[in-house]
Amino acid sequence: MIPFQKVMSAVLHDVLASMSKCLSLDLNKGAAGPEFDLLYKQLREELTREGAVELQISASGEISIGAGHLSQSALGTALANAGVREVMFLPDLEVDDLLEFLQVTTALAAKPSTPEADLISFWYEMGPRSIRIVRTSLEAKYLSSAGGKEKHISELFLHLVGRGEASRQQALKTKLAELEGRPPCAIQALRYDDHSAIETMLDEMREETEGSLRRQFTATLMAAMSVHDPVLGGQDFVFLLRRVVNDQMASGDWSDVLKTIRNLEFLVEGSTMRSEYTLEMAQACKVRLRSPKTIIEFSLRVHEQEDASLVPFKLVRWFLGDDPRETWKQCATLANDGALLALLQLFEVCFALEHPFWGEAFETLDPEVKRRSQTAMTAVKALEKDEPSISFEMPVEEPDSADGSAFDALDWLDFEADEEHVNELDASLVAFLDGTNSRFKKDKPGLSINKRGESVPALMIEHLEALEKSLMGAGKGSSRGRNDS
Amino acid sequence: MTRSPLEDHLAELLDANRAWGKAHQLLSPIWAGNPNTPRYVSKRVAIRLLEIAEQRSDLLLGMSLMNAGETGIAAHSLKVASVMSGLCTYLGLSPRHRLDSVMTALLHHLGQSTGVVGQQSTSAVAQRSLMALLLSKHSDEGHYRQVLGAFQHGLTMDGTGVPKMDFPVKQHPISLLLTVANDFIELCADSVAGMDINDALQHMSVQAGKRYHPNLISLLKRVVGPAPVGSVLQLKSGEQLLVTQYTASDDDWTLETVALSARVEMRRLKDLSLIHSRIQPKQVFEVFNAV
Repeated sequence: MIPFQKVMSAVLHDVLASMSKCLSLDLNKGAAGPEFDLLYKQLREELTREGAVELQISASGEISIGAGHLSQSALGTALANAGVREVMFLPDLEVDDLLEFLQVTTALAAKPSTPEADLISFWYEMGPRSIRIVRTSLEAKYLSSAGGKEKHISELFLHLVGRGEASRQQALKTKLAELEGRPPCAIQALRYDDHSAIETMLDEMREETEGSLRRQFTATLMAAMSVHDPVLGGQDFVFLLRRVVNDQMASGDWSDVLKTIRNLEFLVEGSTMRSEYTLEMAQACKVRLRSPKTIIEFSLRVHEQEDASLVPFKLVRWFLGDDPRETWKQCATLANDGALLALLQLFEVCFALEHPFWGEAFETLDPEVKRRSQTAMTAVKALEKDEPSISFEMPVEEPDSADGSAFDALDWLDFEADEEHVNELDASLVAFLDGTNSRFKKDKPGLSINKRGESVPALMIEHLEALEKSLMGAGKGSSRGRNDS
Repeated sequence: MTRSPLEDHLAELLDANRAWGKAHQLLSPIWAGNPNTPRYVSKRVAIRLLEIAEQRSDLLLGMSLMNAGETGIAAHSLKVASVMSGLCTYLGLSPRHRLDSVMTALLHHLGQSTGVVGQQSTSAVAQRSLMALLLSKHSDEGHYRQVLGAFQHGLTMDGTGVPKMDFPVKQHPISLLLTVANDFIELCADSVAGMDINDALQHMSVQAGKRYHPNLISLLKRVVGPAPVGSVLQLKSGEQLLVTQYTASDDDWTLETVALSARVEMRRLKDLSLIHSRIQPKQVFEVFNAV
């Protein structure tokens, strides 16, 4: 690699040969401290030696080249050779010269085997004499080097790039605001009767909210799990789904999260309608969505809510999984003290603090985790004393002495029996479970189960049974291969 | 020296072609590297395209068809975005939706692993786009629209397109628009179907209501017009005319043209005899070729 000074010399020779004026570097002197000053000094010396070029500091942090001619320059090549991958230029040159320069660098970028090929992205703004060429970021090896001039140079460029980026972002914001400020124009050049049909379509767009778009996206994502020629794998879908569920949680769309989960359960449930690929993708997503890490994130999101009772009971229970004790153990082991508090409050939605579940859940924990959990529980109890929260008081049953396990005696399944409590919380789910929810299809555009001619009620009942079993943890995968007809 | 309106017409045409070329240069490298870069670059290009479209959407469309020989993804995306910006302008979409639509068009092949359109199935492109777009760290409304558009653009209105899915979804309005713009460009592209615009429009009309939203096909016909800017018309009289401007109103359209001397040499303006004339729908002509 050619040292930067040599490059600069070569560049300057080239540039000075055809430039009538000087090259000036505008740097933000104060921003980077003594190192930056040293670098500036070195650059200045280099430039001065090359042809008494005056170097000035201003606060703009931009390189600008004054009026003059930039030859069909080796500049791009030289910088590329120096390892500079992207450099920001703000030259106020003759437009034609710049275009020539652009063509040169672009031509270089077209050759994949040369280092110049990396010098790829540039930006210009049209307009008389105001073309900007921007290149951002530097080759990583310069920055990762222990020190020396190359590193300083890299830092200089990064600094410049940072300044340039900020101003570009600002310019973009201004333009966007300008664009958005303009009134929409009328539909042109269509027969009048065509207008109304298109208006309907446009109304759909106008009425869109971020939530409704996200729902459409989720439906599309679920549908994508059923493609016939898969390109994406399980990890991809896990990533995509986690991303969308995180967005839903962040904006407090709990019912949307529940819908997503329901769709996922629908896909996980074995059926001749679903391919092995679909099942595999959906299962990968289900496992990952119920991972301790996600549950901790979920609990923190719930914790942020002013009114945690808005979080659907069914959703919490789904996240707690088939074996809540094991879930608690895994989560509590991973969580820090703050998260533990949130986690406890999340579990409390299903298990009141007096519930025998806690005795058993704490028993299996490591002593340290157990101590932290108990501290968190004390804190939660103290909180509730101060400010009683709205939570579900599930019936507490006495431990079954014969069984020896309080939790098993109570039976996780019994929560299903106590459906009345659930009804209040999630009427839409109950309507869904009863098969009376007319929105069933509308809510799930991705699940056009009527497409193949099966009767919707039969499919629905089958799906609901499976969903229930899955939620209860008793029938995971048990209906795989069941005949749909 | 002041230029005549006619010279302005030609200058605009050449400027637009140069602007188109520059946008192409800019877009070419974005299919590699940082997933946030394409979105940023394409936003800038989209804004520029919309600015041009607001003034002269006929110019953008003309440029797209004049560059029918370009086969790369960047050129394809830019052409689709040009048609899209015309459609959006005619539709009277809100500025926000216009920007989202044009950006969707610019990014609808994002994630494709080869540099040439047609080397991967539309289904694979759709699936990769889903991933690539989601990799960028944005999750605003516009972003979801772009992801939907990129994934669904091959799906078609009746859900029979690609990717083939057990549970096909309904197309988002932006995807409906994108399907129309994308198919039109593909039909006209030399490397795909190589049809001339009238054949392409005819081909699409047959599938209106099935593959395409029927009203969007009428709209496309209005946006494209009888002969795009940059094409050369041959009148029955034998006279050759270069189309420099196309304007449409609810039930009428006008072509502004420049009569060409015997030699059609766009590269040398001096060879053009600059005679300004207008063509109205009742005049019979044949589209001779595109410059």
